[in-house]
Amino acid sequence: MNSPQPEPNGTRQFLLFCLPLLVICFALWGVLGHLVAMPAIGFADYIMVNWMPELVTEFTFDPEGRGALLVSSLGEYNGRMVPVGDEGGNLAFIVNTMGQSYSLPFYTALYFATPREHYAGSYFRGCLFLYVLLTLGLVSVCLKDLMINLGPEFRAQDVAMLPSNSVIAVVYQLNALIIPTLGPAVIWVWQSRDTPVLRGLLPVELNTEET
Amino acid sequence: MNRFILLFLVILVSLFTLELQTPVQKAVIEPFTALLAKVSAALILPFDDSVIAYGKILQFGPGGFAVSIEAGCNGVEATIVLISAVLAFPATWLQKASAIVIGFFAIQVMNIARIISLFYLGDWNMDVFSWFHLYLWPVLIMIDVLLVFILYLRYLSRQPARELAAA
Repeated sequence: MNSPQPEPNGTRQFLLFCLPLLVICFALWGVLGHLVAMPAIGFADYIMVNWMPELVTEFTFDPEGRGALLVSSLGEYNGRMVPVGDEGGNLAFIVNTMGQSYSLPFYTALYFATPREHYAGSYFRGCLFLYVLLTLGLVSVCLKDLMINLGPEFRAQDVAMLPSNSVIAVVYQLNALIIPTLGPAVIWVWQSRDTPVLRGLLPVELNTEET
Repeated sequence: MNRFILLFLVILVSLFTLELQTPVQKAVIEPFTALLAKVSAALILPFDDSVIAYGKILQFGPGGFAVSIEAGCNGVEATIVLISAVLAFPATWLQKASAIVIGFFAIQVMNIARIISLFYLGDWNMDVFSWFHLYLWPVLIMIDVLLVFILYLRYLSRQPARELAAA
């Protein structure tokens, strides 16, 4: 079976469009702010509240627009962690969702800079994948915040399948430092594997391997 | 492609976990981060005598704006991504080693530009600093990694087929 002929200017067009699209996409994302992460906040809330009701009351959009609000089931009274009810209010922590959601403008710029026949369908599939990663990223941030801020109380509660502190730390670091930039890049490579940009780059033998 | 992605993810998570281990941090990451601070300072000082540098800190004179270059700001994670991609892709060991060495320097040149630009941006406006620090520079560094990898693939695609077969 013949391999498709690489389009000579596909890569050049990609490199030319990528930077201006990055500027536009990041500007739009900056205007929308934390609203971009709302669906992921909803999914993360469902996961956290059902996974550890003893620790988390809700994970919700901060009405003051500072990000998401992780509301714990514990309060603080005279320097001690106590169950909420009798004393004080819930301890709550602000989570910066933009530290995870900047994967979306990055992916959008990569995706639309790549010449391809059809755009809409696979773009939304890519966004869906990114929202899954975004949700997992927010869950990892919540776990890290609870672990650090609640101290020994975090482990004292009866929570099923609670990862060790080391695992929480590694997963959080992975989600903070690598996933928001790598996730979009991997999804872009996967979705663009049949486009002239990537077809033209792959060594011939590998290019024909799967055709 | 499936094999590449699977191998890539396995190598990536392994190297990243290794990087976070305390002995590796103490023996490799911290000295390397301090070296980056020294290189950044050495590049700035001939052009700007208002800057002082000590340890991993760059500062605009006593009491002025300062940045501390920490783990996560040293381009190591980006290098790990590149190493994982290069190792996962079929090529000869010489080609892989060359790509990793050249890629490492390409990432670090970009990273030093990042450190210096953030230092001046922070002195000018903290909001702009935060945007560039948290969102824009990580993306630009990843694009750098992508470009290096794309150029590496272009190079491989022009090699005789027998070299690839040997890999």
